Amino acid sequence: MPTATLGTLELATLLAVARLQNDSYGLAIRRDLASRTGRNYSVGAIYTTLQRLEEKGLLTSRRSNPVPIRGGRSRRHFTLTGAGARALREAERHATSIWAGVGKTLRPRLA
Amino acid sequence: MVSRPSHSPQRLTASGTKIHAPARMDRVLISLGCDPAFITDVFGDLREEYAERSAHHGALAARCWYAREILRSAPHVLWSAIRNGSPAARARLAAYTLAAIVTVSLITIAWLSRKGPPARLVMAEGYSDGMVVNNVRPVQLSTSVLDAAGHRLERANVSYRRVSGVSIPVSTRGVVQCSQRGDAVVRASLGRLNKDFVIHCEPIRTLRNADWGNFVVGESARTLSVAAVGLDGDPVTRIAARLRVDDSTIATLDGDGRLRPLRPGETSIDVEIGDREVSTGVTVFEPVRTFEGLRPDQRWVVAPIRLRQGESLRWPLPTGSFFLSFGADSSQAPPARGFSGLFGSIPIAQSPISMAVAGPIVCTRMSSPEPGDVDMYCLARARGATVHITAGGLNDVVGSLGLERQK
Repeated sequence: MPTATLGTLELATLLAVARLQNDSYGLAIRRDLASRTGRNYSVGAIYTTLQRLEEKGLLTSRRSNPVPIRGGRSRRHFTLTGAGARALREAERHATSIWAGVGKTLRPRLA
Repeated sequence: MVSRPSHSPQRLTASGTKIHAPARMDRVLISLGCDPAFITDVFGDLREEYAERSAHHGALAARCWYAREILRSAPHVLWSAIRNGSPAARARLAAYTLAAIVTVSLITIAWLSRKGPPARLVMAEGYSDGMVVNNVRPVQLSTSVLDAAGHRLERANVSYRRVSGVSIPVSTRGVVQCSQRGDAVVRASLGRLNKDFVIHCEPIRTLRNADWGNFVVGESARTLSVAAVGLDGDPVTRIAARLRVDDSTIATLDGDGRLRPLRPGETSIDVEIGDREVSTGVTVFEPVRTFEGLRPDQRWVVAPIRLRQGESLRWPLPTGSFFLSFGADSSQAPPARGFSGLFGSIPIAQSPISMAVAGPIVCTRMSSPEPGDVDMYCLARARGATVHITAGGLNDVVGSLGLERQK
């Protein structure tokens, strides 16, 4: 089955969901992306992306019980689907492939 | 789009789980077609983070952040409404969006066009700090009051007085009468604002008719000459004229008063200087190589004449009445004309040419402003009339022959 093509924000969001696992709801995803990319995405942009990834079948979501804090509410938690996991692996292979043959000096330093 | 964060009232579901009733902004957005889940998630995240920021950074900072985030998310919320809304919801959204755009535009226009207190005085449009007055009768000075942003203010009571220069009467309301030639400095005042203007008094007693101007299609623009005489009898060269072309399809005037010919024909020019007004005419000729094969609609034509000493040419002439004019300068149109007397066949003594007509034609010689030019009015009763031109002097002849048919 062919994997979906991912945009930069889609890929970063999928990776954030994969990283956060049980804590992957909108606000946490936004903070994770802000700390890793240095970009402060708007809430609307994050949820538009999450909605699109869900429509592509790469994510699923479920509502939690209201959280026990002031103004507590139910959060929507996102989980990677099998297709989402395949899309991430495909994206990694693609990145490895296009970086192949590039000398060490040009490669990004991993933190 | 900005909504104040609020703690929505809570209610219990059948299972005992607390859920929030949608806040007012949420309800509006959902009614506009936004996905309810999307709105709940977005505003839920915003309120959760607002609560945290409010606790750590204070309510004001949190509110600023909230408002900013709402604006940043607005495009996505709108897109959600467009994607998910019913036709009715989309129509509502379009109406709201249009209303918002109109409101913002009106507020912006009102803000930009608001007027402040008087900041400076300027002379009427077209003048900088000086004004040429050619009128003998009293004229009203015109001053505009502007605010700091350059907006023109209405109903400003500006007062005037002469401060130096030639002695001319200036009323406090700005009526000036140039009874003699010279420059006067007039001060306009409004409260603490003052502005000095130079009035160049050049009163004109008479304005002489400008010469009838002959032009050729395609030649560059030329200035019309006007002779003005002052109260003291001397010519006036510093003038402020208003010019108007009767038929601007034949010729146009540029801002410097230069006339540009456009197509063959005749038109008049009204010249208004001070209290005086004169009219003059302009004829625009079509350049042709010879008079052979002229069409009936070719009423104003001019052809170049180049003859060596002793050479001659003979051209056919059309039937009907027409002016026939020779000018000794090939770079110009035919000379302007005046009336002299009656002739049949015409040898011209002072001219470098000898011009004669033959056949069923009678011509009347007109006086010419320049020696050497020839101008005549002819009536050719039938076909077969010709004009015969011979270089009669000691030099070669270079000039132009104009034909101006009468209706």
